[in-house]
Formats: sequence, C-alpha cells, structure tokens
Amino acid sequence: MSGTTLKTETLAAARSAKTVNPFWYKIRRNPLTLLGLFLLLLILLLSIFAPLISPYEPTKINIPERFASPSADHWFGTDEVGRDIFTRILYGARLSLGVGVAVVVGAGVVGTIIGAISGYFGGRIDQLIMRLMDIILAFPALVLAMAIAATLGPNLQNAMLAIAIIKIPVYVRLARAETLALREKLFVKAAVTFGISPWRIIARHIIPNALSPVIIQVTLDIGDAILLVATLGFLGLGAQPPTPEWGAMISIGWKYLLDYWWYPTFPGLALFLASCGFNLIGDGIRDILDPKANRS
Amino acid sequence: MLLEIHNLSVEFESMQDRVKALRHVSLSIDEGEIVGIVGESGSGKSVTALSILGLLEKNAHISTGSISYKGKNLLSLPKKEWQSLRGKEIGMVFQEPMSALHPTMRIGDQLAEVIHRHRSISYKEAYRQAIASLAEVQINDPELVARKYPFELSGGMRQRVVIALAMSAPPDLLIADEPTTALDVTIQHEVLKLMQDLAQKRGTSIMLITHDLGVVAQVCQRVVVMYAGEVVETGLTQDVLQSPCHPYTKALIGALPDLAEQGQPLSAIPGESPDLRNRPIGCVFASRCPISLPICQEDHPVLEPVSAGSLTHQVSCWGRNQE
Amino acid sequence: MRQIIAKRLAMLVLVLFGVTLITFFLSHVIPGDPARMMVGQRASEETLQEVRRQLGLDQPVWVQYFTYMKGLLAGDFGDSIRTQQPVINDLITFFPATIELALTAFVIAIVIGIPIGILSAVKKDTGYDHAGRFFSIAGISTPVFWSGLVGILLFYKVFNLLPSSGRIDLMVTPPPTITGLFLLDSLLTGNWAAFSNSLWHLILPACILAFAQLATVTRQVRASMLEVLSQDYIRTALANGIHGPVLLFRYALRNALIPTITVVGLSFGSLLGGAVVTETIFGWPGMGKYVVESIAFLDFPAIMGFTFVISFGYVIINLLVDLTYYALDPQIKE
Repeated sequence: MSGTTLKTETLAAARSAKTVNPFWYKIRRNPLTLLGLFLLLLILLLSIFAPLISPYEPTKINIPERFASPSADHWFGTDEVGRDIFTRILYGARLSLGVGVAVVVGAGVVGTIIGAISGYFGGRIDQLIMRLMDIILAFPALVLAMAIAATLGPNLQNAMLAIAIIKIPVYVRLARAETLALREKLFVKAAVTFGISPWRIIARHIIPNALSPVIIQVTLDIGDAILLVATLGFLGLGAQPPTPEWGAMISIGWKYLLDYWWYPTFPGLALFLASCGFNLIGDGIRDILDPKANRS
Repeated sequence: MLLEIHNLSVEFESMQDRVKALRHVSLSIDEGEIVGIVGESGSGKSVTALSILGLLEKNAHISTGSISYKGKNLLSLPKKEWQSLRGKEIGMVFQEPMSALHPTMRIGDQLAEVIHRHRSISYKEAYRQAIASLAEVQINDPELVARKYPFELSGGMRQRVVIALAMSAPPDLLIADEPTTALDVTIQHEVLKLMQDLAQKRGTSIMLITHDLGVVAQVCQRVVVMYAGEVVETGLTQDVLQSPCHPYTKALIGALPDLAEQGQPLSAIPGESPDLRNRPIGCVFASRCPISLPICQEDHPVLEPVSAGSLTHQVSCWGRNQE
Repeated sequence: MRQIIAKRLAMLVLVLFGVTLITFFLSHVIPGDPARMMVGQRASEETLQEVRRQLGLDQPVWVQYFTYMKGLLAGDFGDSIRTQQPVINDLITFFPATIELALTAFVIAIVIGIPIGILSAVKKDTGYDHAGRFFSIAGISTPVFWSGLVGILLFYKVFNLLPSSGRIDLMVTPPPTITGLFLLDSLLTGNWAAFSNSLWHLILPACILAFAQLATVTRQVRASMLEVLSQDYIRTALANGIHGPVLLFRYALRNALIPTITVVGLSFGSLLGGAVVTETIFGWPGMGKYVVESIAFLDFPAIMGFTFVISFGYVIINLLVDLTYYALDPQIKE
C-alpha cells in the first residue's frame, strides 16, 4: 500500500537526517579566517620562544659578519653592524605585537569611557566631546600621528600615544551609540530611580553592556595599529635604533635595498604577516556576526 | 497542461538543521486557468512559487520531484534557459510593493527595460510601450508617472506597476504571491479585478497565492489548500468551499465570517504549526485535528479523490469517508 | 537640498577651525619652547631671542593664536628652517607632484578595485571570492614602504623594467608647467618623450600606493553589492528576466556605488598618508618627501604647514564626497 511505503520512507529519512555543526560550517565557508589564526599563532609562538629558537642576541654587534647574506648561519642575513636579522625579527615580534595590542586596547578603554560619558550625560558635554572627535577625525590618520609624534619627541612611547589618540574617536562613537540605546533601557532607568550616582551607573551598567562592538572593533584595529607604529618607526618618529622594532630596522635598512636586499625585506615580510593575520581574523569575526548570508 | 508540479520536495539547509519546507507537493495549472493556492504562513506556498522560477535561496535543495512547464522539466534546465523563461513565459508578482521596485530608477525606465528585453524592439519604442502599459493598469497620467521614482507612488500604484512589469511579455503563466495582502482593503478588490481582466485579455494563467479564502472565492476556478508544506485538499473552488473535506479546510472556512454558517461561532484552530525540522511520521495535521484517528499518527495519508463521482476534488486525509 | 549644503558648510568651517586649533596647539603650546621649535636645534642664542620677540611669545596665548590665524589666512606658515624659504612656497613647489601621484593611484584603485569587488560579490564563497578577499586583506595589511621596496627590488633590480626613483630622467626635459602634472602637460604640448618617460617613472609608485586603497575599494564594493543583491527589487528584476551585465550594472551597481563613494572618499586620507611614505621610497619630489626630510631636521614650521595643508585638503574632499552622495540619492534630493 502506498501508505506503508511513505511511512518507511519517512522513518528512513528521519534516521539519516543530520544536524550540521555550526563551527565547522562557518570555517568551511571561510578558510581565510583559519589562515589568519594560523599566522597569528605562529608569530606568537615564535616571539615567545625567541630565546630558545635563536642562539644570537638581538643587539649584539659583530662587525666582521656585517651584511652577511642569508645562509645556514644567518637565516635572514645580518645588518650593518653584524646583528642577526632573524633574531631581531623574533624579538621585534614581541615589541610589535605588544605595542599593537597595547595601543588599541588603550584607545578602546579610554574611548569607551569617554563615549559612555558623552552619551550618558548628553547636552553640552556631549556636543563638546563629539566636536573634538570630529576634529581629530578631520586629519588623515598618519599625518596627524606624525605631527603629534614629531611634537612630543621621537620615541616609541610617544608614537604609541600618538596612534592611540588617532584611534580613540572611533571607540568614542561606538560607545556613545551603545550608551544612547542603553540609556533608555529599563534596568538603567531603574538604577537612576534608586539614586545610584551617574558614575556608578556608567561603570556598572552602561560600559559592561556596551562592550561587544568595541571588542570587535579592537580586533579589527590591531593590524592597522601595528602598521602605523612601524610606519612611524620607519619615518624616524617611533622606536629608535638599536631597538629591534621592525619599522626602525627598515628605516635604516631601506637604503641598502639594492646591495643587501635581505635587510629591509624580511622585517617588512614579518610586518605583513602579522598585520595580515590580525586582519584575516578580524574579517572572519565580522563575517560570522553578519546576519545576511544566503541569497543566491 | 501548462504547468505540472509532481511530488516536489524542498529542503533548506541551515547551520543547525534541515528544514523540510515542501513535501511531495503535486499540483497542476492548465491554460487560461486561475488557480488559488491557499494556506497560512509557513505552509510552503511561496517556496512552491519560487521553485518554479528557480529563485530559491542558495541553501535550498530540491530533494525529489519535478516541475514540468509546457512539457519541459524546469529542474533540469541549464541556467541560461531558465533566465530566458523568467518574465517572458512565467511572470511573478511579489507581496511587498513597497520594496519590489528599484528605488533609484524611474518607473518608466524600469518598465522600458523589461519590455525592451521581452519584445524585440528598440529602447525608445519600449519606453513608449511602457507608458501604454501604465495606462493599461489604470494609472492616470502615465507620462508623468513614468518620470517618477517609486517612493513618490502609493502602495496601490506601485503594485500596479509591478503587475505591469510582470505582464509585459506577456507571459503564459503569472504567479502572484499575495499580491493584495499589503494593500488597503479598498484597493485590493480593484487590483484583483485588474489582474483578472489582464489575464483574460492575454490568455494568461494565474497561480494566485493567498491566505484569504475570500479572494479565492472571487477569482479562482480551482483551489489548492496547503498546510505545512503539503497539499491537503484540491479541487474546483465551488466544490472545495461548499463541501470541504479536509478538517483543515473546514477550519479555515469556519474561521471566516462570510463563509461560515450564520449564527455559529467562528472556529479557531487549536494548537501550533508543526516544526518543519522534525516532520511527524503520520499526518502533519494530526496534532490539531478534531477528528484524528489512531492511523493518523502512524501513517501518512495520500491525495486521493473524494468520491468516484468527482475526480477533480481530492483530499489527503484518513478520515475522508467519515461523513 | 540647499539647507543641507549650508549645514555642511557650517560644519566645514567649524572643523577647519578645529584643525587650526590643533596645529596651533601642537606647534606653539605643547613644545616647551616654540621659538626653539621654530628656529631649530642649531640656531644661536641671539636668533632665538629675536624670534621670540618676533613671535610675540610675551603675549598671552590667545593673542598668539590670533597672530597664528592671521598668518594662516595669509598663507604664511613661517619659514622652513631647512630650506630657509617660506614654507608656503616650498609646499606650492612640491604640491603638483604629490597630486599627480595621488590622483593616478586613486584612478588605478578604482578601475581595478570595482570589477574585483563585483566579481567577489557575484561569486560569493567560491574560489574567486576567497582570492579576491585575500587580495583585499593583503592590500590593507601591506606596509606601503615594504611593498614599495619589494617593487623596486623586482622591477628595477631583477627585471630591470622600471626606474627606481625620481619623476623623470635627468636627460629628459620636463614639459613646460601648465598644470604641474607632467603627464597632462606633456600631452598638452605634444611632447611624447616627456610623456613616456614620466609615465615610466610614475607607474610603479602609483601602483604601490594604489594597492592599499584598492583593498578598501574592493571590500566596500563587495559588501555593498552583496547588500544590494539581497534586496527585493533585485529579486523582482530577476523574476522579470533581467540578468547578467544589465542586472549587475544598471540595477545593482549604481546603488552599490553610493556607500562606496563615501568610503572611498574617506580612504583618500590614508592615500595621502601613504603618499608620504611612497614619495620617500621612490624619491618622488612631492610634499611627502618634503615633510619627511623636515622631520629629520625637526623643522617644525614645515611639519605644521604640511599638516595643515593636507588636512585642509582632506576636509574639502570629504565635503565633496558628502555632497556627491546627496546628489546621487534621489530620495534625499526631494
């Protein structure tokens, strides 16, 4: 009977129906994110285990071996005073990663606080803060960073400060937008009626709930921050030699490009891979959170 | 037979699960017919329509069945042929007139582009004919309207433009997915009448998808009742509406003030629509059915004629002979 | 519409005002001794005192700002310590070279970026898409100074195809100055030698500079196209038989371009920043190279002058982009 055939068919279908694992589904659709993860882990591990990997010291001068081309002894060659470039890159990784994360997290924290204050109190404070942010954003990023770093004096800390200043407005806007929405929520209004001070409300209720877009933005910004610090270093406005910062290395190395190509090329490659890794991951995160997925 | 859908099953794959949206759907539409597809949201009416035009989303899989148009199996057609079919032989009108038209293109251009594509004439000539189309769908001052943008038109006017677009070839089959639902009640009647007249003039068949039995009664010669992705009853409109067999159809009619018996309370259907991810083994309506039998839980009914005398009136129900 | 323009112009003035405040702040207030900043580390004590007096450093800060603003409006940024010329003259000399480089890079980025973005969107999640997206991310992640160096290494040293520096060979006479853009001027005067030579020098730096902006353009076009392609009106068009190039270009792209223009306009800022580095690497005689040399000298008048001029230009560009956006969207026009 046709009824029985349908019944068996339905049972069989029910048994074989599989549920799709969400994690692998997403990764399968975006192998680039995986690549980013891999790159970052690689760099992280290399930087952490630098002393174990390389027998050389990053700042030890060794004139007889200056400008050695890449070989088994010196995988990436040596620079103008004989320092092993591979070693310097490994130690430089610690610097670049640390600096990149520090700058962006710093900007994120400060920006979120300012944005929450601006959004919560509104009125004149809000207007003032937003105009200030608009003005900062009116400058092309690198140009303003250069101006600030030049004014404050060329060293790594000032470069970090300059870049953090550049990055702050984005976080202020994000946090402000979230705050404006949160301000209207019931639990915040209730807190106000309980007489809780505005500062406490901002700290305990607003900021913790405003964090998620901020965190996403932080992951997206780290790659860019790393490049900016290195660029300032390249221009002589950031870390100064003999610090093994990638940008600073290139600031000296580039003049030797035609004769000793390895000197600027490998630090630059490291910069590229680090930035790429962060950007791939940031892109993947953004993709995962994107609701529009399926239209043909 | 113009269009014949046979045993069509469609599944949607998403991250967590598989939604089985259509299950063994069969229906047919003949030349010059107006057939109504009735059902509530989620019954699979739109999915059926989109399958005919090949406009399903990327994560949709057609697991069984065929769609036969003028003898050709659409599902095995290469993309290019499907593209030439759309609009030219099969047209579609969607539900939301507000978002259906291109927001930054003038009305006249939108129509002219489509006309230019379907009738082998120059763009200039197509524009002239576009204005004539606008007049045909009863838009006053067509030259003026042709120069406007969609946001300048009312919902009713936009839907008329959408109809003009869909009928521009003219197609042999027009699929209208809830064409009047988003419109004011006063306009609904006019737009329906317009579609009916145009179809008659051009000999176009209409597959009219709606949840409104009143619309079906007004315009359709045959009706197909769908529930949870399956066809539960089908037949001539007067047969199905006057002597409904499936409990779901009866409940639908009972819920309407016009068609219900006078003096009787309106009936609501208890329970919820089934979870399409885990289809029940038996009849899909069983959990909400007032006359559910033990067999309804275990075995799935098939679409069969109500009686020997009326082969066109078919129902998928174990209790069909209860009355 | 007019109201919108008026509002934007008011904002513009406010922002420019803010820009002057910041540059003033940076050049006069933060450094301990602005006079020292002005004359540089190597000047003598008398010069220092004289400059102090001239700068009116004995005046209160707001008077100093006022003097500063007066100077700005007259185009006076002071004299460069390095070249001993008025900074404004230096900037005018080097301006056209930077414009030529930036504009060419911009055009390249758009001409290549838009098709790649469209392709990526249409073939979403396929190999083409992944390649396009990787290309795009690579562009954003590549430090301009590195890609420039690699470019020189490959095309100059290894393949010996392109020159490594300069705007035109020493042996070739540059065209007479009409616009200051060598390509344009040589075309206008029919000077084929100058044209081809300039082009040959321009290609590599322009492409390197374009690479980063290409990434932004591609990304944005892809995102916008995906957004547009998922809209109802595209579905209507498909259902009516519109497909292929007509659908993509006439229906989808024109709407996708609207947010793209905004983003691309904003990214012009990073193009200007990138120009600084590119000019340094390629010895391109533009404002960027000028300011980098000034940095080495701690030549503050030059640095601040550059900052102001570039930022001013950037603000104007953003205003133009905003206005274009309003002009393109008919709904806002009404």
